[in-house]
Amino acid sequence: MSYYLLQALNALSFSVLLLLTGLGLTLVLSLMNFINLAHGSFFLLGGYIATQWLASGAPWWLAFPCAFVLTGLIGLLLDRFPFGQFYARTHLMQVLLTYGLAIIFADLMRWGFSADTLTPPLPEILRGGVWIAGLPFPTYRLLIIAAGIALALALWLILDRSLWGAALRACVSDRDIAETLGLNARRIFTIGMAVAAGLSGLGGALGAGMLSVHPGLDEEVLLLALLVVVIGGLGSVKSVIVSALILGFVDTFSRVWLPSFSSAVTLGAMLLILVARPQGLLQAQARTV
Amino acid sequence: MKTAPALAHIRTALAAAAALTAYGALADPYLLRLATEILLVGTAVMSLNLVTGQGGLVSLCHGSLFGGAAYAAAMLAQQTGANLAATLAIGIAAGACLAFLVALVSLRSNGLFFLVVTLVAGQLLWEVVFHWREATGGADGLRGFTSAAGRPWWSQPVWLYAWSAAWACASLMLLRRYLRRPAGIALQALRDQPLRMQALGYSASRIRIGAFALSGAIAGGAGALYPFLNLYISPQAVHWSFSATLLIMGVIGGIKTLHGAFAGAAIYLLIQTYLSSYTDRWQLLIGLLFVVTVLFMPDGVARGLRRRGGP
Amino acid sequence: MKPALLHLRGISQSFGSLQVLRGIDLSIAAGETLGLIGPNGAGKTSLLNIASGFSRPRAGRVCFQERDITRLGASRRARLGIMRSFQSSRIFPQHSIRHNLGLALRTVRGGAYAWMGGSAALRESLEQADSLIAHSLFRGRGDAPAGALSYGEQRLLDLLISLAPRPPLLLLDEPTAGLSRQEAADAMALLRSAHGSSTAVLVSHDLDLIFEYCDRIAVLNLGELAALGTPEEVRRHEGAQRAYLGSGP
Repeated sequence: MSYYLLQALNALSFSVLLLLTGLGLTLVLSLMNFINLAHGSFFLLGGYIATQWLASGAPWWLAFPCAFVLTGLIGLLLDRFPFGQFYARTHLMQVLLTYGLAIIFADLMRWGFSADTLTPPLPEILRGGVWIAGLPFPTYRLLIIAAGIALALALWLILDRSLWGAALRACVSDRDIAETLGLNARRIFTIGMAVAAGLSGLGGALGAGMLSVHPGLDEEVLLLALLVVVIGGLGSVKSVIVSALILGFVDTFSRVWLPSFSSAVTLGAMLLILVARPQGLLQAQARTV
Repeated sequence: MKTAPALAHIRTALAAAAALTAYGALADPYLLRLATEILLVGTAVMSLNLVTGQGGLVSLCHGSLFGGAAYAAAMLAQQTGANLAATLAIGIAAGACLAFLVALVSLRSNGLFFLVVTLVAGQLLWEVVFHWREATGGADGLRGFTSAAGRPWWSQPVWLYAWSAAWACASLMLLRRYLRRPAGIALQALRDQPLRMQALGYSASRIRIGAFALSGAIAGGAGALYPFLNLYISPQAVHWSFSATLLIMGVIGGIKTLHGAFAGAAIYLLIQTYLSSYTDRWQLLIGLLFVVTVLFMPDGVARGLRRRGGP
Repeated sequence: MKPALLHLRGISQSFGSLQVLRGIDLSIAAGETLGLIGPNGAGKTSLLNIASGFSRPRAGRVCFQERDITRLGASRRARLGIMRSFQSSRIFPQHSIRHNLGLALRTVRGGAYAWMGGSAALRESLEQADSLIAHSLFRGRGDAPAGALSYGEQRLLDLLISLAPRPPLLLLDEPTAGLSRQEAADAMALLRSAHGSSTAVLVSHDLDLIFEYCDRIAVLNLGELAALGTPEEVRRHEGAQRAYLGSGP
């Protein structure tokens, strides 16, 4: 029983990482109708940044904001060129552009950070574990869970209670009308792209202590992020939270029960959900004709 | 009496056949293998063009269709020896069945959702292939799967080239015919006006399933011959990154064409072969190729299918 | 009194918290032309969507030819004989006029999905398209690409496509929107020539047209049926006037 509690906590911490990267992807998709297959690269980069930072001896807790800011900056630059021109293009073109960039980034990171699997040295306070129901659970993962809850609250506050959040939601809803109200959609897109990249980078930074960083992680995370976005349905933070939880739990427990074919089981389960609900679980109803 | 355009087509076809034959007679084994790879992969790209260019559905599973058929053929050869007819048959069957299954699970999906469903479906197959060591060799793939009888005659470079060219030409003719018939016209119409087609009573499901099955059969036939190129098949051929590669080949050649698929495959494979022998950072350059293509050449090199008031 | 071809019973529709239709009851008799009018946002297109299967109602039933079709999708209903057109012309611009019509005809004549044996079905549908064209204003222009037509002509082609399969029930969403007087008259003439076998529901803002061509008129306002009757009855009806002009002094 306590074993399952621990696994549930594991699943929860994994869900937080999925939430962070899934939020970025769904933000960009809902706001600019832009499919970004380079999204996993931000996650991986965040992981490398955190690993370097933690190894350098600087204050450990700054690693995460640093990753957020640096990857956010890259997102901002990419929005300038070449993403910005592609928001209006077809999905096929976006897929190929971002996939090509993902290959480039992957190779650059392999070149810069080596092809080895790296694990960041955790600060004293985060090493070791706590006892939960008689079993040890890594302290670090508790940090991830706490960060996730804090973030979800912060996001809810910003989106629901602030003017900036309202502006964002307006643009997601109807860009043209929002522009007639004086909102600068282009600037909001840029900020959206930067925040999306930053969130993914933050996820990667937090995840480094749990998953380690290695080439190929970007591709794994991309697939998961795409699933998170699509399973939940587009257009709301709530749907991303729900699907991140579902995917996190299915993935963790399939590893527990069917270790050799766990990925196949996870993918199969997600496929079944998509067959049953082709628009995602929480897709809002809208007039289509 | 044949019309002028029909005569022009016959001339082109004859010229192509002559060129292919001459190449086969004169080229050395290395060049033959290169051309064979272009023909086989190009056929897979052409099948993708049907679904993506003509059908408007961006698919990330076609690599898995091709690779899945390749594994089926290789495993059959391991069991029963490599008979050409049986190999082609199982490839076509495997490709068509896999495609049919993917079509079923993606029937109600569009846009990004369709993309993800095909990606997931293909990756599901990869997971099975990668982890089922006993049957598929797992990460190592399958090697030397011809039986004690030795290498089959038709897998010699010249013969494999000839059969690959034959399959490529047959597929091209089959697809051209499909696109000129009601089924193909309906596929394109569904891409252009999905609501109108629904309102007219067309079943989008039926159109999609038909197009997918045909696409899978063609990719499967090519996939079946693929392992005999180097007597080796690896899980990489089933991975979704290979599907993405097929997509870029399609776009390089012109996603809305059929014959452009071979141009796209040729350009990509030649660049990849050259680059990987030239530098360690060839993957970065491949990524650059993707980016450059969509920035500067999104319509591809070959001309689009002509429309003269109807196909 | 002729039996009802289409019967809408208790239809309600809402999007989120916005209620678009409230408990609509409407019957359309075989052979009649019903006009559906009302101010913007009244729910006319939503009602058409529900009748044609393009959206599901929150509540209520749709019956066609005595059969409950509420759970059937749009293309299934089209195969049963319900033909819907849209506010904007949805034609195939790169195809010729005859190919546009051939596409529509193959759904009833068969061969819509034909491949290996398809050239015969293709030829037959195109021949039938040719005879349709010969009796229409597109006479002699069958090979022209549909994309080269003017807006008005495209709208007429759109209408012709809807009429070609001779469907028992037509649901036309603003068929004459954006057309000149002459083009609108051409459109109605086209409709009239097929009317004998067709029942039609016309949604339109062109009140002159509606009052001239329709047997009965239904007035929708804020999701409810404000008035239903012959043109004379509706013209005198207070609820109808209020719907368009607002409650006056």
